[in-house]
Amino acid sequence: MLSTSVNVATGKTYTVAGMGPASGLRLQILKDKLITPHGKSLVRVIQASLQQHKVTVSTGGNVIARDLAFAAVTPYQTVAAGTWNVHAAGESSNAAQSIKLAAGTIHTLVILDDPGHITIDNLVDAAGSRVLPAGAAATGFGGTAPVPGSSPVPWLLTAAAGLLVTVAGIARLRKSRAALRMR
Amino acid sequence: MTKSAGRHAAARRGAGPPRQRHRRLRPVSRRGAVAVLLCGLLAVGTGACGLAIASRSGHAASPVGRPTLVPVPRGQAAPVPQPSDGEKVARPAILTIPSIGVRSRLLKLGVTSSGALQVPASTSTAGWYTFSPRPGAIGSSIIAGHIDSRTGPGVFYRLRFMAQGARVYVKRTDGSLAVFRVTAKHLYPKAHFPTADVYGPAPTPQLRLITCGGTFDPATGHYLSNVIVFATLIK
Repeated sequence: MLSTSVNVATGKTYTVAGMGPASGLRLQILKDKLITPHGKSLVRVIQASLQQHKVTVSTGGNVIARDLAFAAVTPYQTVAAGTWNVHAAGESSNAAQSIKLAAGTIHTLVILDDPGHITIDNLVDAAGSRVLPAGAAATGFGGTAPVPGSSPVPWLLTAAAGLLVTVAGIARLRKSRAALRMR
Repeated sequence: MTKSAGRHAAARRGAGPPRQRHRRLRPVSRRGAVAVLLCGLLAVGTGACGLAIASRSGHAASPVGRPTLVPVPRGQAAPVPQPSDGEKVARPAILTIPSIGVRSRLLKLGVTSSGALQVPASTSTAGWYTFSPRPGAIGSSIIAGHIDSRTGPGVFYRLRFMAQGARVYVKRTDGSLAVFRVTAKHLYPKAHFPTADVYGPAPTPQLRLITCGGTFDPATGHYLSNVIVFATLIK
């Protein structure tokens, strides 16, 4: 049984890698990343081959890991999105693989041993949207939204003015009746 | 009222000879008084009616009612494709959320010319954002739907009532089924939309359901907030 201790923080992600031959396996804690630069992919390399002591890994001619020793891990590196021919070169064995690195994805490439040669294992650490939409989503037209009642003020004013006019009318009516009686 | 006022004004201005004015004053005055009285009563009545209508014109949010009964879909759960290619997962076809009565085929959504999330052309159908991971693949898959149309509820009308632990089913074009469990639901002001949390990379297969919520602004014709439900794949 293998054990190790690790401090983990909320909102962070980690990879636990078992490295070495079956007889001497060690656990290694790797900090993962969850943010990619806009329109790019992030890639790191874990050198886990015991056959080859130093491995150099390149994507389409760009070296992303040079002379990486066993159990060494590169930091995440920004790679333009696309399908890349990834090449791993050891001292006596090579491997090549076509790998799709979509924008918004984070990968770990693990160099492993197969009988007689090395291989590249492509792991997706995390994936997001290839295109990040700007701002919020306009997903409503308001047909079920509560509607505030219209203002009662103009109606109140109308009623109050009407009351005044009514009072004036009554007064005038009385006056005219009084005038009639006097005649 | 205006007629009698005019007559009075004309009388005061002394438009006619004084003799005439004197003779006419009494009957006009009485008729005028009645007219003023009627106008006043009319205005009081109008004001009262207006008040009654104004107090009734507002209404609260539409009644919720019961969601439609939707059967839990069946299908083979496809294994999560780790390592590599999310495109080995089939495209999503049908969304089912039994707890809020949603069953909708999924339209394909992109981005608008201004770069915003395209929303479904129909308010009764949800859509999958095609630049996001496919449901069941690693990462957060995005599904958006309307809360309402101009006249009534939309496909995600009840999204805001979803509870933690509720199940969300996505049937894919190959007949396989992805089952998600709701982990959180939040209301975000649109001015502070959490782009990274919604569209950014996630290390496991997850789902984000998006609709509108909060206050509706009649001036712009838009809600001021977004409701977002976060869910994670369970099989």
